[in-house]
Amino acid sequence: MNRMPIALLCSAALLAGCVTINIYFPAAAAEKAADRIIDGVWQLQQDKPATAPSEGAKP
Amino acid sequence: MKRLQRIAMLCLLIASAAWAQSNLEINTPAISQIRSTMQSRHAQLAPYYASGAVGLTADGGVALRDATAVPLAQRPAVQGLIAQENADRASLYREIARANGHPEWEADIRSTFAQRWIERAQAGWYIQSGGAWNKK
Amino acid sequence: MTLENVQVHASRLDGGPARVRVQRALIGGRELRDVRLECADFVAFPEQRCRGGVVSAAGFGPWPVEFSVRGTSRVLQASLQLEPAVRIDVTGTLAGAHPQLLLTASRLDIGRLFARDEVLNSWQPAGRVDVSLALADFGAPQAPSARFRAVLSDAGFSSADGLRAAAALAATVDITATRDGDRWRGRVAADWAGGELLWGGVYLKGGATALSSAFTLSDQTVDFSAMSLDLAGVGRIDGHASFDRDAQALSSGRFGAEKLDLAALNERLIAPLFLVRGWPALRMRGQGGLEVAMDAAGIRSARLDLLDAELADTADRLVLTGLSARIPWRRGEPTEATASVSQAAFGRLDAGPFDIAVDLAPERVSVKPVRIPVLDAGLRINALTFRQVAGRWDADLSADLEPVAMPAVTEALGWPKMAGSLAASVPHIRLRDGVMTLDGQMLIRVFGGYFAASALQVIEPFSATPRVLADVQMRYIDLEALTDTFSFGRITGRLDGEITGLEMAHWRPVGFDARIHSSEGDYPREISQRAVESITALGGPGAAAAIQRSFLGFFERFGYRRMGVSCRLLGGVCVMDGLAEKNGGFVLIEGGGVPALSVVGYNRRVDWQELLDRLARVTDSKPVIE
Repeated sequence: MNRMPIALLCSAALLAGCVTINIYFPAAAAEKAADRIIDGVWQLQQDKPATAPSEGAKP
Repeated sequence: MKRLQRIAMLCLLIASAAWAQSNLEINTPAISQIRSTMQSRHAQLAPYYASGAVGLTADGGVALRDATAVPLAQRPAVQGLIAQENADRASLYREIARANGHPEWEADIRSTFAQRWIERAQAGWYIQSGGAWNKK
Repeated sequence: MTLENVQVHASRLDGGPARVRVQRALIGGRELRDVRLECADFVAFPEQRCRGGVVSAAGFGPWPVEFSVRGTSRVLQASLQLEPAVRIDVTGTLAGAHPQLLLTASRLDIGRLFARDEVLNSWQPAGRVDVSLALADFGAPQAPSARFRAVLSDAGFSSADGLRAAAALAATVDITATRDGDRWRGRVAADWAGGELLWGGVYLKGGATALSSAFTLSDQTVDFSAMSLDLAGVGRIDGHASFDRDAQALSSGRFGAEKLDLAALNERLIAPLFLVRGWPALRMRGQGGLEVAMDAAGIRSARLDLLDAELADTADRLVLTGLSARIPWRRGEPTEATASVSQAAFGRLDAGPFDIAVDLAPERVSVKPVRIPVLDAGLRINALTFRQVAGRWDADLSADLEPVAMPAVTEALGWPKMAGSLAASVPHIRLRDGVMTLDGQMLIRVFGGYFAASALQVIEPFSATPRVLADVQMRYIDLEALTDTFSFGRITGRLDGEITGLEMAHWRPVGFDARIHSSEGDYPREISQRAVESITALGGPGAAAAIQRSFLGFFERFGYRRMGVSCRLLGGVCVMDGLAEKNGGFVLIEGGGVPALSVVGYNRRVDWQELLDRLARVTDSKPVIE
């Protein structure tokens, strides 16, 4: 009989703990996502062949 | 006690689900659309980054740094490109936050992107920090 | 003119070297220090003459100078050599009934001219200017008059950020003025012959642009009257204005223009302003008029008139023709704008004519209820209000579309003819923070059933990349009407469907999760041979549809129990499924009755565009879904 309130308390605490995990901003994942998008937008993968100099010369 | 264990298990499951989600969702149609317009616009912007006419701002956008590097007649078009790029970047940050179910992350995503754009920028491009422009 | 501490050294008065030194000179409010004049040969009597002279002051010169003043009428001749190719000549008659003075200088370097003025110099002035200044009747009893002309060539300037700049300017400025008591009256005319100018996003090319005005200059004010600005191709702007000289600001003014050519105005002024902001361009034609009244606080009132104008986006998605409008605006006061449109075209759909009245108030624009005729019905706008909140415009709309005959709609859109009618009721659409949201449902009754869109959102509707989100339900769609319409081959039956997470970019679907299946209930279920062929063709040449081809030759029609297909569109690929699994494929049509026919698909991943192309080929018409 005595256990119920404790169980409830614990579960509340644990649940609260669960919820906070989701709220933190996933900085590392965001960096990874940003890098993937930047790779695509700036075409950093294909940009290695020497097309840049002629492109950059004309304003 | 069994109930408690179950709740703890549930918690662990949710937690692991949260941790397992180490990748942000960036493949929604909206994000793909913005990425592809930004990618095609980059061909137009790249020469201006290289000439220093346009630089990367500290808040994840682009700005006109020195219009004198651009012929007079083309300056309005460069301003237009910058306005469109900034609008697209703003919607990109908003959409990523939205796609991951956390619209409130928008500012964090913006600042993460700001750092990454600058980090990944080519040498010679201009980068804004504390209101001043520096050449990378 | 004040001279302080003047020292003169001359050995003789009828020739020989002489030296004049002025420690401080005030000429017209400007201070010069250490002014020196040295003449190799100076004569003071009977005429004044300096030959082989050099003049200088602190920061100026030294410049070679010569001058002479001869005779009773005191004829002046002077020249100052600023650069080997730049000389200022002054000639004139100083005494007599009509004294005159003429100053000419050619090819003056504008950059050097303003080099000492910090403010002007920061604009990096450059180029050459030819100047002539003629003064007449400057003796005491007469009213003096002046004539000034400056011809700029290859001139330019640039602000530090380069956003206000000019290059290769060629222009002529003429000013004539006569002293009248304590003021000057005259005319000013400027003709901009060529070059380019960029100012606040407006880029202008010179040529055939002329400004002329009368003016009165007093100690306190400059008044311009009968001002007229001719803009090449655009039209003429007339007006008058008064400037406060102490405040260095406009104190009042009025400008007006009639019959401005909107196409030229758009090309030269409006389109560049849109371009700078990254907005989509507009196309305009027709005539416009403008009236602006200004006071010290800025624009006090304005009125824009449009006469038989045409307005469209460059893609011609929205075209307004025969647009006449009168749009008044007054500072701090509400006004009412009115417009009449003879035709509005949304894509291929024509609407109009209609008249519209709009209440304009600071930070609030509301459209009065209006009925816009669309085909044989009307679109009723019950309320449309825009509010400016923190720099963005929010909007609220409530509208009804009266039932419009589908045959008319489909014909107007160039679609296959459909029966039924189209009606919609939009109790409330909100635009907040760039997102347009529909409260409630939008219902379209067609093909004996209906399509209902809920959770409808348009994100950034006025941007270059508007996106639509919605969930769509379809109920009891009559397949017979549908397949007849698209000449697909006849299928009888009814369809239900759910399309969730529909997302459209550029008005094309980019993502959804759709499930379409036979409705519950009793109704005839038959499928024609032609329809079977169409369905098979949708599978593509490589698709293996398990159809018992041997049957096909014998029967015109087949029975079926139910049909169903699902498509999850993501990244341009439609992932398909059917009613059930069968032999590693999915059942699209489950046979029933005699003769029964089943259709099984095996290709689960279909390119969406490819699917649309096949559908277009099968139905031999443009698919509606595009």
